[in-house]
Amino acid sequence: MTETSNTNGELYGVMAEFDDVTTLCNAADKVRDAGYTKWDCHTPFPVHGLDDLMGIRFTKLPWVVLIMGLTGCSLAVLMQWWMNAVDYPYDISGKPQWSLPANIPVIFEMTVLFSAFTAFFGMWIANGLPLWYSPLFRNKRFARVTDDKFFVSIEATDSLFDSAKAHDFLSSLGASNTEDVYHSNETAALPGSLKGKMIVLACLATIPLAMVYNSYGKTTTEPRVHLVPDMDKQDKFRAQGQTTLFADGRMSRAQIEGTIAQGDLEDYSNNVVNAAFVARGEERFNIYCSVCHGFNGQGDGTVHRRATELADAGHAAWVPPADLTLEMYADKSDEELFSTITHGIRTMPAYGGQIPEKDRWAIIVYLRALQLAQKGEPVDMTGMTSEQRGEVMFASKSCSTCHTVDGARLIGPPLNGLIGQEITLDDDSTLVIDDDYILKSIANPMAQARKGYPKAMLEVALTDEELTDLLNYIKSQN
Amino acid sequence: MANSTSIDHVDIFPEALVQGTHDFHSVTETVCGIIEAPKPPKAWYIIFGTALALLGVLGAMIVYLVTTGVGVWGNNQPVAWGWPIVNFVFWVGIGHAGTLISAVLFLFRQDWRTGINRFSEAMTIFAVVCAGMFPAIHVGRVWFIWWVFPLPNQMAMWPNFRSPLLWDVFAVSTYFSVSLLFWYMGLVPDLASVRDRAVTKAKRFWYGLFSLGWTGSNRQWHRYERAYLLLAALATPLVLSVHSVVSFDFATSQLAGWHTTIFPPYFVAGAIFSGFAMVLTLSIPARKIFGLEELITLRHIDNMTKVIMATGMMVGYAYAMEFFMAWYSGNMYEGFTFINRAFGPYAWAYWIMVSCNVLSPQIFWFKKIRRNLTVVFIMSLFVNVGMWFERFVITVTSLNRDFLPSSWHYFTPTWVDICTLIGSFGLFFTLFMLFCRFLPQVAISEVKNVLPQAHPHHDAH
Repeated sequence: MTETSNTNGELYGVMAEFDDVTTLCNAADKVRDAGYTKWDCHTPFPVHGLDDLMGIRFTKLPWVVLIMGLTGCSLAVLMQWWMNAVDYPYDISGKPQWSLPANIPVIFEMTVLFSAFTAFFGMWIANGLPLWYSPLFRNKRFARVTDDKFFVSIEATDSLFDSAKAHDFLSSLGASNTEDVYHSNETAALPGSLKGKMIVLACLATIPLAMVYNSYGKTTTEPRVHLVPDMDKQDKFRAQGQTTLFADGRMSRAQIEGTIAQGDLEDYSNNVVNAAFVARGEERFNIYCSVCHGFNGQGDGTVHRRATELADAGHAAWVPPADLTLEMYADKSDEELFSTITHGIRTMPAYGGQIPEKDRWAIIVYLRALQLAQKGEPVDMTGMTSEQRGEVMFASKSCSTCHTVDGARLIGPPLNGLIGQEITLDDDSTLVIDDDYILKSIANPMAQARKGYPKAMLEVALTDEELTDLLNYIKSQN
Repeated sequence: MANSTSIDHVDIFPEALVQGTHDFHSVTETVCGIIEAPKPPKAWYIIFGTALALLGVLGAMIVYLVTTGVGVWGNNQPVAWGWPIVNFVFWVGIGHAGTLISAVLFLFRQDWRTGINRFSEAMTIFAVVCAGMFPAIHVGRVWFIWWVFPLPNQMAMWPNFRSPLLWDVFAVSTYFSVSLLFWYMGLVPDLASVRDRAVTKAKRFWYGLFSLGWTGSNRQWHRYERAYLLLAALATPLVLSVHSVVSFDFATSQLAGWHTTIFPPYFVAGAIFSGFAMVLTLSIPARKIFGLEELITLRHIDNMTKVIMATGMMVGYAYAMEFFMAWYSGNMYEGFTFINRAFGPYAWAYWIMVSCNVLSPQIFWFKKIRRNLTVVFIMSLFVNVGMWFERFVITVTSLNRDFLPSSWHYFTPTWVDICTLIGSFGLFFTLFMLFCRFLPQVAISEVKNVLPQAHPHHDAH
């Protein structure tokens, strides 16, 4: 770093060398008392107490660090809230999308990260470093500042500066050597050869970028480069494939005699439609179907809403899921719906592998209920008699899904000619139907269920007035 | 006793932190001399050559892994977290001593840290490099590892900030960044020392570049010291947080043997334990090879063995408490896991862990042993081995017998697992040997500061 004590430039100031800490500290005290402002001490290690002797004002760095630490803290909160609760809401087991405790580790780390970077870079910026040039470096003696010598420098720009006076003053304070320090005459420009090399390097650095830009958005007929072939082609056994592993050469294995596959213990022979079956269908529908088709089947599930947002913002193309309550889907046969669930259709993937057969049927039953529940026209009931209101209720509360009033049997018993009818209940007791039985059976359908019908009726929440209307309607069909 | 005065002296005053008759210049000479020597000692060539060869092994293993897939490792159900996570926790644990020594001991005004802080900070950074490598290659498709950071991607997705694995990303990368800043900041004045003594143009350029134009100005020292204190204060909770977060990877899962609240403090104690052991493993040979006996003294070694003994007893307490809680909770799965841990198929690993970590440090009760370098060095190796096995025991024994007995499986590593672990030592020692050769191994300016002549005597006033 050091050449000789050059005298070829403008005067920078006077530099005094001291041999030990005590002399330096006394000198620093005196230089400050003399009223100099543009001066400094240079030491191989931080000398304790020197700050006070020099009158250095306490750095504001801790406040800057505090502010940036709080910035990091708030940014972490905002970032996590926006990313996980707003822009890409994570739905995990229905837990709240924004819950602070789980976000604390990242908040802490970001606070520390911001504070530490501020402390580090703030310190160098405040110190005016990096600055690889100092006139002091041009003095050979100054090289020992990082070894075992102590220096005081007074700059020529100080208003009290006078070279001869400064020399005498510093010598009187015990300096072992004092001398003038000069700026360099040389220009600070980079050497020409280095410049040329840097230009060449900069040009070369643009080549990869140019190549990326050139291939951006282009198509090619060349086959893909398989950098990692195992990811594309794997040795594995496929269903219906051949193998040398088993004696019969077949990959698919027959069920081992005397064993039952998981889930097969359940008895499928009694696949009746009852309340539990519909409830099962609802549960499965809500798990597998509602994400796209929505909880009411109208095709507005969360995936659809999110994808539509992205599509609107130009990020993706999106084929909307079907509104299953439309007439065209209500008209489709159960078998066709079963096939669609099993094999998928258009962008809908196949669910045959995920949903057991029985559950697929349960979903279809539930879907039928959804379709029925949303069919219907608004009816003006003003001026109607109680029986007429009951008739509207009979249609709109889904009674007619299972019951008729013409003697035909659907899922439940026909409702014409009920009063006075003698029926057998599930427990083989007999009973004559009266008003009371009808009201009780609507309020609590399965309490006294009729023998020979599936236990499928759901509770229907009705007001007393509605109950009376419905009862009157049923009685009118006697 | 005739010589009672000198005994009193030893008892009352701690030994000098720098032995021999050192002044400022001789400290510079000792530390910079290592870098300026035209050729490093023979031992350096041997260790560096070996490390470089092992680094080559690591490179080959990574290429094989990436081009083939993680199936080349022994990881498989039910032990899906095999050696990669064991090695990750092992290395990141070792990385804890550095910042503990440089930050926590700094805040507690433990001046003896000055001899060993540079050393252990370097060790920290290289250990965290080794640690960070394992999760990165563990993901299988390493070219997607950037998905762990909250950066915009073509899926328009953000990471899940409630996942402990993501916390790990933030904790380890913050720890690495802050440790690096802390280390580099400490290096700057010392790099300036090397710069000012450099004789070749190349050395003047490179050491000059990285010493940022440091002039030792006291106005700069003032802010420098303040920033150093701030970094120490920030790094202290960070040290405690990093291994706590690593322990969350385990503790927040619903697995018997992992799902315990004792994990964060237990992991932190274990990390400090293993980190100090690694500092000893490195510093005992280094001080001999590079002639640093007077700067890294027996007092330093003695203090470190005491830390090892204390933290060793803490992990011992944690082991015992885990068993107590397994019984006290009355949870049959918890109980089974711990009986399986100590007496099951991996009992051998469990008892290696207990004997290395709990029993062996007990010999440090004796001062004679604390100052016997051969014994201390061997003990430090024992602790390193024991702490690797601790992570192995936690990870593998909790997984290998899961809830469905039909899927119980005895985990064995493949040759790739073993070579990758050995290779990671190659990476660590390559970096460490380069550090020993090209950077000041001891914080020159800090050691000068603890010399008696560094403090002005104010009788002149």
